[in-house]
Amino acid sequence: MSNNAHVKSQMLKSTIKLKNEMGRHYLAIEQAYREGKPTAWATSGTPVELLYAMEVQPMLPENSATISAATKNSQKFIELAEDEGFSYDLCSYFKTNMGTTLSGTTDLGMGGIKKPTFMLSSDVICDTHVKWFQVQAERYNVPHFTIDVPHVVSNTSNRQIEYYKKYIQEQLWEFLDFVTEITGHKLEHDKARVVTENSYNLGKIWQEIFELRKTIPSPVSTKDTFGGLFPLFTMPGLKTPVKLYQRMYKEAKERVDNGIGALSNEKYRLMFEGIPFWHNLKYFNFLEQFGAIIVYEPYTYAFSKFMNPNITKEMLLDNPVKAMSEIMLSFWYIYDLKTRIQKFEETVRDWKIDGVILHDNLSCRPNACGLYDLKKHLMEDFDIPCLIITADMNDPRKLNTTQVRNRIESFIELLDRHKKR
Amino acid sequence: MDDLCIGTRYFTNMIDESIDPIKAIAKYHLEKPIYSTKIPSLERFNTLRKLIEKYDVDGVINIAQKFCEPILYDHPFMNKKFKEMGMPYLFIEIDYNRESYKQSSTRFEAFAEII
Repeated sequence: MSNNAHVKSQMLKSTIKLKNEMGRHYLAIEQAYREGKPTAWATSGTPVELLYAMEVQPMLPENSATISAATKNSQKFIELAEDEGFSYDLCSYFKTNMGTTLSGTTDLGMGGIKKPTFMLSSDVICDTHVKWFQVQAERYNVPHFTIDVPHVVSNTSNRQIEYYKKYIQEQLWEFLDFVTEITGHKLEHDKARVVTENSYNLGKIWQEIFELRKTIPSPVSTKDTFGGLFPLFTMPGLKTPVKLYQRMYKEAKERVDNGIGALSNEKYRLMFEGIPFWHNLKYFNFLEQFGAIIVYEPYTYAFSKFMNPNITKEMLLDNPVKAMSEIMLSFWYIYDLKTRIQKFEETVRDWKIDGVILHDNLSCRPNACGLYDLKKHLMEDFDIPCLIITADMNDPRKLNTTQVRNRIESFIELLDRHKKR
Repeated sequence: MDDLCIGTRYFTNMIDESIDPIKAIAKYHLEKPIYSTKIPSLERFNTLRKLIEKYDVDGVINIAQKFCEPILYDHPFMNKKFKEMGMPYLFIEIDYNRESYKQSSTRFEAFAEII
């Protein structure tokens, strides 16, 4: 097994521009407060596009929490929330958010938050989002709207799915009335068309970047995707992130055309399932000395949203609310185990993946649930090497860096043997 | 008196036998006191307060299984509310293991003495 400590993967130059995009987002928030424009907290998975379309400035506490972690502030906030009585086992995004509330931090650059006009949550990707926002809505004394999304399981019939779509759509119309009542803003169809078109383009170009990652060597590493994810959550519907992704795509395409990989000595292609450790993103760099590179993350891919082939651009422009209801019903996160196994098997094949690392995220039950079954099926039915590591997305106390590193190193040795077989 | 998900709550209201059975079952489920998984927490607290008054309760024990987030999310709110009404409140987070049971029984004894 080669071991070269000097090898480093190359980030795309355009990804560095992401900082400007983040700055733009924070400026927009600051400006909204200065001008007295309505603002909203939203959980990921909600139709943030509709907020943009109704001239409401969105803020995503989950995203702010990752900023806290990246700036090494999350532990402090988490411990503040625990002092308030919130359990060690509760979601570390929630506790980071609660900690910022308790500390009164409004500095957006360290993951601070501001009191919104209202809150929008949904149980689409995580059922605890609803409790989280309810707890906060009570503290801030602001209105809270939640969208309930039923889960599609292996026995869900088409009739039920059709009913679910209508059920979600009804809630979205109700939500629009809710926003109008609070802010006086109405949904303008023309504005909604522009916003949804931008969101569609954003998601599609992100998917195209992922298509390029099928190439050996992969032109793009996690350094670009974990960081580059940000606009998909916070700015779907705006024009500028689309331009940024187009630049990323162009640069990645040039690499593919010239046979250049993000990692010069690419040897093992990995998939990483779960949320990364935002408090220690550099952690994965050590993989590079073994020639290992992460070429696919279901998490970062899932938020490109527009994966359901039934949702066409025409449908989106024609009836944005209906399209949004379809999107909410086709999130990767609401798939059952059977579909999940199938998706993983396809991905491993298409992206030519040698092994899968699964993050058993201690404070994210929806993410961690089913991982052992998934691993068992992938290993036994499809002979795909898998490794489960235990850590946490936002709580640095729950990552044992040395232990996890040792396990990953042994896993790479195993991959080596598997490849030579 | 209990507020378990499948406990006394089950008998809080009855299924109306005079209307269409499917509608009656739906109505029954919608009108039951809310579970900890549902919101808002205040509604659940108000139900608990009524039970406390009706059954002349002297103390409240809230047991949360580890990873039962709905209960864990509600705890600080319940703690505050019970304090405001001067009601002794014991919160225990337990795991399925023997040590946990022994520790809990010691805490129950201490709580009984407080009451």
